[in-house]
Amino acid sequence: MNDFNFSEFIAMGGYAKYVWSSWALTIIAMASLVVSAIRKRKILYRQYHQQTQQSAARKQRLARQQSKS
Amino acid sequence: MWQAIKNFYHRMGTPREFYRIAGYWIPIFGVCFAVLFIVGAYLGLVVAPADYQQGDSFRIIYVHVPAAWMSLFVYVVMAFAGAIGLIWRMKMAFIVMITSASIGATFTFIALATGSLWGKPTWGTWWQWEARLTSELVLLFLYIGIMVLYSAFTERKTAEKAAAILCIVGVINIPIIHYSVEWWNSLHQGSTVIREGGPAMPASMLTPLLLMALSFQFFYGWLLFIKARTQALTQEQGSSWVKQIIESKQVK
Repeated sequence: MNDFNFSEFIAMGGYAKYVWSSWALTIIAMASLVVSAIRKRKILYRQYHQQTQQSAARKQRLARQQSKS
Repeated sequence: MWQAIKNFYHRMGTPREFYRIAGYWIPIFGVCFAVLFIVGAYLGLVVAPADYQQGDSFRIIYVHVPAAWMSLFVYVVMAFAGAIGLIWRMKMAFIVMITSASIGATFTFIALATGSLWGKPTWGTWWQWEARLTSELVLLFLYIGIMVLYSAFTERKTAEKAAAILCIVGVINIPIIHYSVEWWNSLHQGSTVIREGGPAMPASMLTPLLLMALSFQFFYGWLLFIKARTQALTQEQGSSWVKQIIESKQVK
């Protein structure tokens, strides 16, 4: 590893565009899977909390109506 | 021994137990994936010598081959899970099957796209309608087909069954992909790792490949557990253990 040369490493013996685009594409595709998984979990939490809030508000409204009448 | 397997099977089959056990393994799998990926990438991109025929372009192998292996592996897992779901009506099996589909499809896409990027400098073409490439493309369509079929039904149980049946029928494509380079005169090179007489690669090239393959396995396990847990929560929203878990989480 003594003769490590950064610009040579980037050049990939003339195959830079093929090698780096392959690796970049792989990493981006895998990362997008992770992002979508996290987003799905967040949507689930948000929807759940919205639903419980709505049903709580509905109950309050009903209780108010009943106390009026 | 048999009893232990049976117990484990039943525990993993219930969404609540699956959620708990998977939650324990998620960080471990995540760390294994990250460490193996970094070490594998370093050894593959920096340490391994250039190929005497293909030069540095061969370094695409370290993402191409693991992704291609995973595209087959994930499919087989899905087919097994689908069969278990159909035979024993196990909820978690269907969840594993359906949450694997997008991961498998992505691996297949990576294998096809990086293969194309490797094919251009070595074969002089991005694409060729030959056995290996075509059967791998069929695999991508199978994955997409399973996802589309699953989402086409409003009744979840029908969707699960239909997707499982398609998945099991599609297994026929797996040996075709694997043996395509032997059965037909193919442009694609033959197997360099899994072949008679052992791998045709020096250790300095083989080690990073195996590390990357292992890291992809951990990636699959890690992401599958994350996705399957979300799916379990979604499906079991009425039950009290799910309410407890969701209510303990703050929404940002």
